[in-house]
Amino acid sequence: MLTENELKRYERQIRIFGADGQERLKNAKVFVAGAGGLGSAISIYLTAAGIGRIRIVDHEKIELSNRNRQILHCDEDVGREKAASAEEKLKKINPDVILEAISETIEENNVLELVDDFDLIVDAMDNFHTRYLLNRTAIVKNIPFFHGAINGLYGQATTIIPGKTACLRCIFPEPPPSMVFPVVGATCGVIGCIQVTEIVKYIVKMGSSLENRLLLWDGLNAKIDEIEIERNPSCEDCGWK
Amino acid sequence: MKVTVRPFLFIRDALGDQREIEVKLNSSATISDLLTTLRREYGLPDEIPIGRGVFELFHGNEVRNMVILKDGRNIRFLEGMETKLEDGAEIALFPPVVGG
Repeated sequence: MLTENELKRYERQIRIFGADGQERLKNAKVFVAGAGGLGSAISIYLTAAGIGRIRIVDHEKIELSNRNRQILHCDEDVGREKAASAEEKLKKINPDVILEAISETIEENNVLELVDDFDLIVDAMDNFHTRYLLNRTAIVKNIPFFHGAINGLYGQATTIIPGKTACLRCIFPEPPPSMVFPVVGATCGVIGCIQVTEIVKYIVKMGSSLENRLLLWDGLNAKIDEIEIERNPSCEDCGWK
Repeated sequence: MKVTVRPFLFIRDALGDQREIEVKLNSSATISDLLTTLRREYGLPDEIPIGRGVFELFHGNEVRNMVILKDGRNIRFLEGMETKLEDGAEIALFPPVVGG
């Protein structure tokens, strides 16, 4: 049941989802991989929306060069762990949300334990090595994986439902080269907010999602496109599913 | 035969901001032949300047930093550059986006 306070706090979105939709959000457990540029936008909006429990994992410390896009952190946080800073800020945004911030590197040997019994995984990583790991974990646990990535003024997002849609490996069989990528902070906001919109719709069971569609954001020319994608039956990650 | 090329993001810009390009090819053409045609006749460059950096699409004849889908499937899962094309095939070209 929603409390009096929650009914007031979420009044504007209850008009869309109904009280039962808001309860679904309250009962949801969301795993956010990364507290950087994408992770900032994603975790702020998930927290504000009233997701019941959010686990956010990031092993890095805040650097001054992060500050153009990682809006969850402040200048005074430079040198602190991103996880601790994220938890502090998010609790202030919405004290009703159960927040668990973990300062660890997501690796093969801890990913199953970290994702635990969470309902879905959100991709806020900056490399494909960890993205593939999260993609495989989502498939093994049979939970959705909400992918997003950015570069400069460009971004992409898709929603992966194991056994139903193309997975990340179906689209990108090989990791693109790692690079120090340029980024305009607002690009993280655009893509992160698209991911959150996808997550909220998935939880409240409304609308249609980016299943088997890769959304591409071209901020330089203010254009949005989509590419239809198909599962690869012989995909090494999801082919067995 | 004719295939439809759909370039995205700055690859589209490099091809004159066209959403779709119809390319005529001989009946036995492959992805490799299509890329050769796009480079020779449509001006698909080896590198694209982005801001103050450069994004490399080709290193010699080797494709770099460009995802190629034929009818929604990555060509790496088909026959790579030797993937055969059919009349009406749709080819998507887009750069991978990595950061977060």
